[in-house]
Amino acid sequence: MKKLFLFTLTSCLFIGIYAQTKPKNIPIATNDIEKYLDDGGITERKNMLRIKLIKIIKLEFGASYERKFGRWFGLECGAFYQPIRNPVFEFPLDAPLHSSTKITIAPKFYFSGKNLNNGFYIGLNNEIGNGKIYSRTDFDAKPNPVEIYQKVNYSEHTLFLGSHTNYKKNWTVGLDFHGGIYNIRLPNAPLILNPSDKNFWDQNAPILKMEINVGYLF
Amino acid sequence: MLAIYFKQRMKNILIIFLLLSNILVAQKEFKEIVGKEYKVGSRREKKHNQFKGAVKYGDFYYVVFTKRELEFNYFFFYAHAHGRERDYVLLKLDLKLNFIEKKTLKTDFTKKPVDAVQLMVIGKNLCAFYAFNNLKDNKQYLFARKITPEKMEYNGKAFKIGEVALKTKKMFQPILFEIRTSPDNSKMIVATKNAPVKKKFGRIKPESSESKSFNYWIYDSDFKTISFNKNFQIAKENTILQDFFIDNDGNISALGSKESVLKKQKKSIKGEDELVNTYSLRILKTNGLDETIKLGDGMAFFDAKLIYNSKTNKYAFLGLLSERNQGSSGIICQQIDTDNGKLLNEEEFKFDEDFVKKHEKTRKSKVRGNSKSRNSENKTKKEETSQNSYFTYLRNIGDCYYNDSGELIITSQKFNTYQVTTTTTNAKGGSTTSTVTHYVYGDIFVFKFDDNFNFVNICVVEHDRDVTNGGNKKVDFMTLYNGNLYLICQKEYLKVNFNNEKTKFKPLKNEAIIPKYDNSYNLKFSDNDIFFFNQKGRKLTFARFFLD
Repeated sequence: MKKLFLFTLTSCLFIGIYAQTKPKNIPIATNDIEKYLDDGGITERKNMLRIKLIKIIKLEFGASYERKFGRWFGLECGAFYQPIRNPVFEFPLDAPLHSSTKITIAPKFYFSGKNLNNGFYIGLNNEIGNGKIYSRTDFDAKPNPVEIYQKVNYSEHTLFLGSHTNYKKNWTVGLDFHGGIYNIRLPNAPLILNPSDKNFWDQNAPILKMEINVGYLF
Repeated sequence: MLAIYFKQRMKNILIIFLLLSNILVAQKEFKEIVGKEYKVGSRREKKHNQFKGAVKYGDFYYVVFTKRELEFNYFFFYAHAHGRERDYVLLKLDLKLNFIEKKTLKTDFTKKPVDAVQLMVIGKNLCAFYAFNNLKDNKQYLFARKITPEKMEYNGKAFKIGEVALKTKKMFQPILFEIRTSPDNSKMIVATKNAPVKKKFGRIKPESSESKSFNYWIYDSDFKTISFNKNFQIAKENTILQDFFIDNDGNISALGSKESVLKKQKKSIKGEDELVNTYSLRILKTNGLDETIKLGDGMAFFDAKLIYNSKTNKYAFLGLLSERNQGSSGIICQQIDTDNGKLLNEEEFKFDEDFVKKHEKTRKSKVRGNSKSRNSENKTKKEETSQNSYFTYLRNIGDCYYNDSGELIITSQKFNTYQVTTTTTNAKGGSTTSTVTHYVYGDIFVFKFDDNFNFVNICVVEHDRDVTNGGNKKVDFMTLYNGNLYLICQKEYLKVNFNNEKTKFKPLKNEAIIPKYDNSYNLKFSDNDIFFFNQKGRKLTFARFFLD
């Protein structure tokens, strides 16, 4: 009986000694902090692959890649191919190219943080490439008249203001507003019959456009 | 001849001597050591050095800054700026405020955008705390790294000492940890706060200050875990954490308040229904004691405070009773024995008719301008509804102290608001109206009670002057030293003498430096050692007030 009493008393002492409850797995402060700092690179993303939705509607297929250098600067490069004439945007809203291949280079100045997750920027978009424009219809061709296209060089320089925001972990959605000029230049031996047409196509024209971007961060 | 001259002038000489001696005595109370103006950081960095506080270790003061970087969160063209506090900048000063050294402690050892939380003294080291939002784990982690005070360099590796779950996948989150140390700095408690939750339309509602349950860790000065508690609640009801403390032995006390319930009056008049609070104190001791005590149950308070009397080892819960939201009708004091966690006694000091008539009459006669109408409105309401109740316009409890003889000193400053509406007419005839709310602080009441909460006496410090010039300001700081209460406010100081029922402020000796301390930040290192800091851009000015 005495042993039982002593045993019970000792057990009670050991059980009730801590009101500050100690769970089984008491967390210990660890100096191995690397695993807690590993967030899969979410906070350090400096690369982005972008597709441009307005360009897709215009049947220009392609993508751009952007890299951020430090806190303030970024560079975006892209390549786009337009196989056929776009039915949505017609001249004078856009350059009247019937098919084209373009590359773009856009240096940007950011007003936001170090990574690419969020951004507010201004930049200079430079598009250069070549394509073809409608030249004339050859009514002499038999049995049916044939449309003849003229090869042209194309360049576009726009100043743009844009912003993109993080969506989920890896995605961004952005909006850019562009304003600038484009130039369609005919080669040395034009096929255009009417000389006044040559002057028309060889001049600079203003352009205003908007881009909706969807980006993937990595 | 000379003797006759002196005899004639003796009275004047005596008066001058008395005046001089009074001035000298008054100026000896405060020894002001004025520091230089330091320029913090380069011109380019001037906006990014944020004053964070100061710590005293040994014979040195360490003034702490953080390098602030602005980052933006965008939703297309809607931008929301966030200030991230990154590296710590430490200024080391001696007791005479001479500059010794300046060092920057970078956070690049983490290679991540961590946020500087605070810098404290833990054991024989300084300790820097950092928080990191890990969106992969959906957690905010708290890291701590020791700093050797002598060299102002990191000492050893960083430790992870806390974690809390995030409820939104946002890169910018508030700091979700509260850190307190024991009075001897040998132990620290790290408690979590609720993470903000995502509401409809993507808006975030901050709930950080309303934690109903939380996790806490207790560490020693080497980051060894002493205790841990998960989902700790102060009481079973929805009790919101107000404050928590840890003593040198690792015992914890947490004060919480239950969500308020509206108590309707029988003859309900709009604006006179009052909120009823219930405070709870939970004491957890290392010897196994776990007690929850209800305080001020069912009473309506303007303000409440818990203070610790180290001599008697008792807590005193002080509540300023609300009288139909119009004013305060008294002070309640409940004493709790920390040894057994039991409520010892409950005493109440009611503001009776004589008291109210004595101390409210002067105030009403002095208030001018727009607030006059408001007071007259209050007066009529009072006459209508509470003919037999008396109240003062005290609305919060200030600093409270136990002096060496165990007497309780409670301070409270009156304040009220008034609005000034200005209408300006432009050349075209259009008018614009702007309304500015002024906060006017009034007299300071200093009550003295004995150890059984019997009223001993009161000293009212008159502070009802320049209402037109933006109103009176709040008393900058108070301290009880050698049984005397010292107050500083707007270039003036006061040593409260309980022998006089009414007293006034006196001008400070060195007025030239004081204007710089308007809207400044003060730190009380001990009862007789107070720092004032003020930062404007790169310029940091500080003064040390030392009571002798």
